[in-house]
Amino acid sequence: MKLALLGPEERRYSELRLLKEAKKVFETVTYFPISKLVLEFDEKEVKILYRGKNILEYDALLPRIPKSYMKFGYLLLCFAREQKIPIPISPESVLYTHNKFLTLIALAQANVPIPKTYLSLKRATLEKILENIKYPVVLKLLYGCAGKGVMFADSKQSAISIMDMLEAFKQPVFVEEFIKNPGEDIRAFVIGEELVACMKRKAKKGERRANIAAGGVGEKYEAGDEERDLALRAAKALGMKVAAVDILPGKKKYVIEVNVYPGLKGIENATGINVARKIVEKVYELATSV
Amino acid sequence: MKVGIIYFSKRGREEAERICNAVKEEGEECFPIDAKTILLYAGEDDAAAFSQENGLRSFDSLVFLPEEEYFEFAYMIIKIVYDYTVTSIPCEKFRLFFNRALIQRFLASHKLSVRKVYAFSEATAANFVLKELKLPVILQFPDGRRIPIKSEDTFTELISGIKRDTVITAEKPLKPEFLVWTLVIGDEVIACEKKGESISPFNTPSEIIEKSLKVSSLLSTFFCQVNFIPYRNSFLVNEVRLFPDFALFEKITGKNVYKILASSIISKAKERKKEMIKRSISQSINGIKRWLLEIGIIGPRREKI
Repeated sequence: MKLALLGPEERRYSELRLLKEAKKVFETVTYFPISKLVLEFDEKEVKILYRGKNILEYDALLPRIPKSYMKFGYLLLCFAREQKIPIPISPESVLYTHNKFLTLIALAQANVPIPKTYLSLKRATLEKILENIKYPVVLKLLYGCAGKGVMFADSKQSAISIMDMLEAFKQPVFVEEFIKNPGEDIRAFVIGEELVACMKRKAKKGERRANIAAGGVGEKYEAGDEERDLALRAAKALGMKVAAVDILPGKKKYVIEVNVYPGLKGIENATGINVARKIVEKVYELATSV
Repeated sequence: MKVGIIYFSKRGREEAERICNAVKEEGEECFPIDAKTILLYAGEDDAAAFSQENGLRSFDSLVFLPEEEYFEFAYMIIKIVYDYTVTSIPCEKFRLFFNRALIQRFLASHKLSVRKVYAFSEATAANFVLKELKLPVILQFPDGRRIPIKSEDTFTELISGIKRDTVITAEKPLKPEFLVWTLVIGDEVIACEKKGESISPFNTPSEIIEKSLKVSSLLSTFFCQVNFIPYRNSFLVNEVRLFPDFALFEKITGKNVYKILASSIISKAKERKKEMIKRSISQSINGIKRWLLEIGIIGPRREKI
């Protein structure tokens, strides 16, 4: 069995972990930087080429599509799906997860509880919402990641100042209800129909975002039935057999994000679970069930 | 019937107003809707879209005049309303327009002939494409620009400036003497024009009619513009536009394009609304059957009794 691992040019911890584990499960494993791939097609055939080699001849693909290659990654996966190559995520999940509001739409339509969120192309429309909303609120860039592009506003005035500043990014900004929590969240790693690993992330002092990339600390966490159910439903709503689902704990739980390109370092260090191996085994299962 | 025409630009507003006037003349309600005034909401109960405090799901039909810069926002609206309101294009088909390579491949897979196309997103990959295709090539950018390239220096200069994740397609250029533009509304090719130095009516070959109707049917769209390029005694589909140049077609053909469009929108919307209701009833019946089965009112247990 041959596995093609697609990822960013620079292989970081997660890519290296996946490569290492994949080599124990698949006979051949090759890493392909997404940026160097070329699609070729006509009415008869489709190819995804790397230096002339067609990666659609591989038995399975394991894509790691960062935000910086969302559009091309989406295209690649559409082509791979058309050729019935087993992949653990749908092309739409790349689209949805890189656009935070699309993620929320998909989750809302699957009745997964999420904070109330508003988006408009016109700032004046959003400012009307700011008149009546309860503060504090969260303002987010549509295409942020790793906690970047997330800001908190305690009043209408500060929300407007933040929107002024975020205009520099030339991206739409959306407004989200703030769910009170002690600066922590739960990251649940879903593979197939199973919650394989879970950690609680705590924000560093003075910070509200609990992302590891923003300085948060992770510790092993035993998910309850409700959290398990939420994580599985969220992953399913986005067409993902491998997903990292972020949940706000509390009396009422909310899913705030689903990640298609999650880091493995934090979750593996916190839980001691070989998540990379489980991902690879899932892909192998998909490849052998074809 | 309540119809909304969603537009994204000044040109879109003008077209939306003309279409609305034509729909009103047919005796139905119609409102032009500026996409920039639309508020999207997602919450634990559901997702919704509003324009001036009117829920977009309250419309019987929503017609989109999408523009490339706002495709993603348009997609979000369609995704929210799609199960409740008849839209001028289905959700999953609209996604094809995010990328030229996708729509071209979709057409090719349905035997609508397409020449060899390459797609890439970075300079290093572009060099491979150049080796395969060899100069001259024609590059198409996401904003629709098509640039013929004859020299390697020009190619290198152009590609080196591209932003990451800009998906570019490359093909061998054809040098047609003319292009053919068709306007499909509903199940009819309303206009077929030859575009050379000027635009003029064209005696439409049956191949073009069949291919235009096939494109529109495959995309399940209320209307579209299909552009063809003559190639080796045949015509290749070169481009599909979801927002045709209605005003231009009206001017060239002398036909009342907006009246035809209005009638077609109303008729398509009514037809699809019926299908949605049937589907909804069928789902409700299945849901009720499942519930009755679960509580034992129907099913093997009852039969035993």
